[in-house]
Amino acid sequence: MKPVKVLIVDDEIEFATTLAERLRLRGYDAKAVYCAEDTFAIAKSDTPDILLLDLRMPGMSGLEILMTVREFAPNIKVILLTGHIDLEEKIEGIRISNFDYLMKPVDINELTEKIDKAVGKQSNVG
Amino acid sequence: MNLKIWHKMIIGIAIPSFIAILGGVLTYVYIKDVKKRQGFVLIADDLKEQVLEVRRNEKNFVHYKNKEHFDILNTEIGQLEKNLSTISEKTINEIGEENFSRFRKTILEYFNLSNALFENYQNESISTEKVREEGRELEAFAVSGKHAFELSTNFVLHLRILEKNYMLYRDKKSLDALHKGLAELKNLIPFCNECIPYADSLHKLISLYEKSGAALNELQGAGNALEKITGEVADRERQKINSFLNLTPRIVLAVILLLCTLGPFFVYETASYIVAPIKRLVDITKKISEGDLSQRAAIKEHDETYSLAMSFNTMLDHLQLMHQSLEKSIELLRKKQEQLVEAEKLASLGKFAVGVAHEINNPLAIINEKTGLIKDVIGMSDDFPLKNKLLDTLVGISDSVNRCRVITHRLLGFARRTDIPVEIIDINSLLKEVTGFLEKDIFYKSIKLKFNFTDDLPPIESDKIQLQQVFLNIIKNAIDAMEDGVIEITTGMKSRESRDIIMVSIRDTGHGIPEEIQKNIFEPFFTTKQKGKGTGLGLSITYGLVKRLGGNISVKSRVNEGTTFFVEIPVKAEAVKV
Repeated sequence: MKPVKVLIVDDEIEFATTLAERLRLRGYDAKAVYCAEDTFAIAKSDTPDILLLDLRMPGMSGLEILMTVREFAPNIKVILLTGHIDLEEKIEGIRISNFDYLMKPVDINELTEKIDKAVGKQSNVG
Repeated sequence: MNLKIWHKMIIGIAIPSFIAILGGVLTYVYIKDVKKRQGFVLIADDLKEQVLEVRRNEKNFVHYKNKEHFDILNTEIGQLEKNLSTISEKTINEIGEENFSRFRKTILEYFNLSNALFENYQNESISTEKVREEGRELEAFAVSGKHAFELSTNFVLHLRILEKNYMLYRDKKSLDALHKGLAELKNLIPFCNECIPYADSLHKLISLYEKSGAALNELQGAGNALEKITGEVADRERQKINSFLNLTPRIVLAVILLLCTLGPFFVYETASYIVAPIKRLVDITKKISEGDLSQRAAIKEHDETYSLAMSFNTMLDHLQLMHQSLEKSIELLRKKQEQLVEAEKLASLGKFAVGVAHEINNPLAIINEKTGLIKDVIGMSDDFPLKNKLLDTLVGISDSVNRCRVITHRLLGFARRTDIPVEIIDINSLLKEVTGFLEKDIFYKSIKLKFNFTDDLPPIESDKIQLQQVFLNIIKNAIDAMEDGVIEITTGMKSRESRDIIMVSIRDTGHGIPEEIQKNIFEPFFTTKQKGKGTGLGLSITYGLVKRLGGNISVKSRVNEGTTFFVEIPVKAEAVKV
């Protein structure tokens, strides 16, 4: 079975790389990027199944990145990772996609559950 | 009294003026009367003068007893009558008709008496001649000596002397003496026939003289009466003049006194009457300037001050209203300011908290991941001494991270808005919109959605996004609570009487909430969902939002039958602190 391709977008490098490593340990094809440009580059070359997206980033916001990605990868799933979620962002997020969200710091099991649910697969670790 | 100010002024001036005019008129009438009475006095005096003239001529006539003087007297009487006839009827009536008729009658009587007297005087002179003739014959007879001796010549001469004395004096003494002589002569008559004619003629003369005397008395009485009448009239008119003259200064004095007292009194009364409403207005303005705006001018008079008082009161009404609305505005402003300050405080506190939480949250997330990674790595490696102790320690770190997470999340909860951006919202379309967001879930779970909307609901002025959040949370909970059930959303007014509060109820046919935990469902971090499925904050946030929008939320639920949430939303949201 092909591993689920996960792309973590977060400007906190330590957080993103560690989370990617943990996900990889759990059998996901996880990569971490730290800015919008890298996100677009990877999303174009090797479209991930799911984006783990930080809402608050310098430059483009998470939602803006999401919208841009959606333009060339309309079926990409997304889970918002955020310190907390603003109501407007939540509503807007609902409008853009059937998203899910997790508050940082995340529980890894909860996250994998949501990822599996989003891509419609059972955990390949469990 | 409905008197205008100028009416009042006229009355105030008219009364003293009337008194003055009355006094003047009375004085004028009196003076005119006095003048007239003076005229009457003159008339009476004239008449009296003429009467005295008549009386003088009467005396001459009585003295001379001849026709010449009688004619003069008659002329004078005629003159008097003529003068009398020149007096006007009016004057006669004013002086007194009975005075004049008596006067005329007396004149006539006087005239007749003077005629009678004159006639008597004529008879007297004839009789006197006869007596003298008879006397001379008797004298001649006595001197001739042909008579009896009883008749002496001396006696005859004596008798003749008595006769002459009587003719001359015509008094009682000479008459008595003559009577005595005549008595003696009577005794001589049997002896002397020649004595008889003389005695007879003497007797006749005496009786004529006596008649004249009586007539003269009557004439003089009439004359006196004439004098008396004119004198009376003159006196009476004089008296009237005097009484008028006495009265006039008194009237003038009384009028002056009346003017001096009543005049100022009336002017004062009128002035106060006119000024009274204005004075009241002044009193009221004083009270108003002291801050009592509830004062109103009493409207008692319907004169020019009536409209003044009316517009004054209207002005006061406006002023009071303005004052009240101003006070209200100030009060509102003060409240708003307090709210603003409070909101600002909360907002800056929120910002601060959010900032701190964010700053801590990211390293916390890193710690969490790093710890997780160590746990992963150790968990995957073979057993080694202290592996379990290491893992326990890592669990301890994870627990601490979780505790921090709770704290930061709570702090981040402050980031919720504290102000309410107001929009005009139609609750029915808002609910449609919200259910639209959840279309997919509803479709996947084959849930039936029923709308039970009331059409003519008033628009709500509130925060749209927060309201959306409220219903999104409730409906999402309902969806989560069941498979292929029914969600019924009903809108309406809370009560029939008031159109202030809108009631939305959301009923589901899910598994329901046990009664013992119904009271907990709005508490933060309380959830019936599986661990990791819910944050336990959804209904708590919903509750907070509804309260903040000035509304209310309650729940009714029965296990296995379903749950109904009732949300009350005020038509006008007022931010309240929660």
